[in-house]
Amino acid sequence: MRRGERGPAVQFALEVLVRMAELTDAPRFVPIVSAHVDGCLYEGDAVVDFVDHLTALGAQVAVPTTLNAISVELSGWRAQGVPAAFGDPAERIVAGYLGMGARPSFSCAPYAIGHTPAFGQHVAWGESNAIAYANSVLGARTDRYGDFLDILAAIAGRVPEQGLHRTERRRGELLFVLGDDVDVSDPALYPLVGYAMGLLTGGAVPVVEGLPPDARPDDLKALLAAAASSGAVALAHLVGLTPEAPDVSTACQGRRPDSVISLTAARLREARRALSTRSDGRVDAVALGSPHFSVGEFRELASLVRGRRMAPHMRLVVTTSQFMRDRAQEEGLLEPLRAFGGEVITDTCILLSPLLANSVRTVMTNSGKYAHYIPSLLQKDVVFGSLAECVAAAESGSVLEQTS
Amino acid sequence: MKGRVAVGGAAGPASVIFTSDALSLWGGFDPATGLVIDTHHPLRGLSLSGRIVVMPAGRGSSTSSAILLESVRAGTAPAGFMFRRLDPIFAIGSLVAEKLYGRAVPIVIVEDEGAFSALAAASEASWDTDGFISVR
Repeated sequence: MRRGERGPAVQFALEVLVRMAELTDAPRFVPIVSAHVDGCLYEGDAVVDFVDHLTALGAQVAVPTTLNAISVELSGWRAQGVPAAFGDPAERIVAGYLGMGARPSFSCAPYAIGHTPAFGQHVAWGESNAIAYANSVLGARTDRYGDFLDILAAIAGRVPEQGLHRTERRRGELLFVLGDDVDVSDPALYPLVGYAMGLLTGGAVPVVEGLPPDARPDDLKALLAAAASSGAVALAHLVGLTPEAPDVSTACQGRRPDSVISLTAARLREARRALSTRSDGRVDAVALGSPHFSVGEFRELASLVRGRRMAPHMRLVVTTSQFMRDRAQEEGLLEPLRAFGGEVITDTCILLSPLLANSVRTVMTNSGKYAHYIPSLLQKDVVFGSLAECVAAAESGSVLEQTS
Repeated sequence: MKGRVAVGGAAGPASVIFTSDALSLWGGFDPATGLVIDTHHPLRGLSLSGRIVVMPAGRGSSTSSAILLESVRAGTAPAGFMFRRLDPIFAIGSLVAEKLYGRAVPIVIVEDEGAFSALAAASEASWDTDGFISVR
């Protein structure tokens, strides 16, 4: 395509993409079937500058494009006490992307809301957990698209064929074998395995052997989100569970893994310790839904909270997409949660939006990703536990004796 | 020592901050202050502003590119990055900074493990547009 042939926005996008192609020694460009844009967060005014610049160039997306979780709940931020100095530019960024033709999905779990590319298709996805899920579970091909490159790829409709778009780069390199001493019935097994694996992976493609064959998509989501938080994991082959890993040899493309690491019970205990910053029983709030809660997780939560009542000083926040909240509502899963005292917040999450008051000092969560980021992004203490442990803490007002 | 200049041309001389632990800028670096805020990271509390940051690779969030752009806008960006492996997320943040503000954050790649490890002892570093690196 010649410069400027499709307008200045496409030219701008291609200029950056060509630089990225050169940097990564990509031999050619490949067309993409979708994009997932993570760059819709208000992190500061530079992002506003970027979106305004694209809008001024007349940018339009060339492929179906979803938007990640955003910095505010669109319908609720004013009532939540979010300052206008934060909410207004956050809305401006979102309006800019919607004006380019992106869909108002507002979710970090686009794979759960009908945005699912087929095996082998190329996509350009941002958001570390979505990237890991698309590559690992769907077998679609995306590299780790940073903010900005995701929307530029959407505008150009193509990406350099580099990184995880290339078959040889998807070879499993580092084999993790789940130790015989690991209790696979531990309800926190998946985020702990992911977190421990991410810490040890470096830049390699990991393979995990020994996970229960009945692991559900939500389990894989929890594992991958944790792994993409503690490490740069963008693709993990889970033997017997993900499409490129019917067995270790296939996952490693017929070669032997470069090295083997045993994921022992001790390593998982270490991961669990690393995910909590206090152990004196104090907890002020429970946060669930990173990545965004699925309808399956709402079902599990509804069955746990039914007939119980949250302690008066507590707060329980579940973050999800509007799509999934509506599904949960239709199934009657939100009533028991509201009766318990919990609340559902859509579009955003506690890491992106100032949803938790300063008086909340300690947050409990079952998400390895929330647990990893809460101390640095919110300057709050965190306690990691299973969903059942989180509900028990919300009911009693303190963290009960944990299994570990 | 020679590296491969990925983005932004020459850098330094500036003081070196070395870490063998990869850092995610989102959740790890505050562009308002230039400080490392990742409570899990050994550089926690230290400033990266105006320094050559030497680490094996980037890590974690894809929003790191936006944080890098914010730091360029705020004037708190590092003077450059030296990686063993190019992290495309850092590269895109730097490329967009060049496009929007005319100021890239230079990135140079030093693949050789021995050469890279030797940088741990450096107090100051710079490189030219051809990737020739000087350390002190």
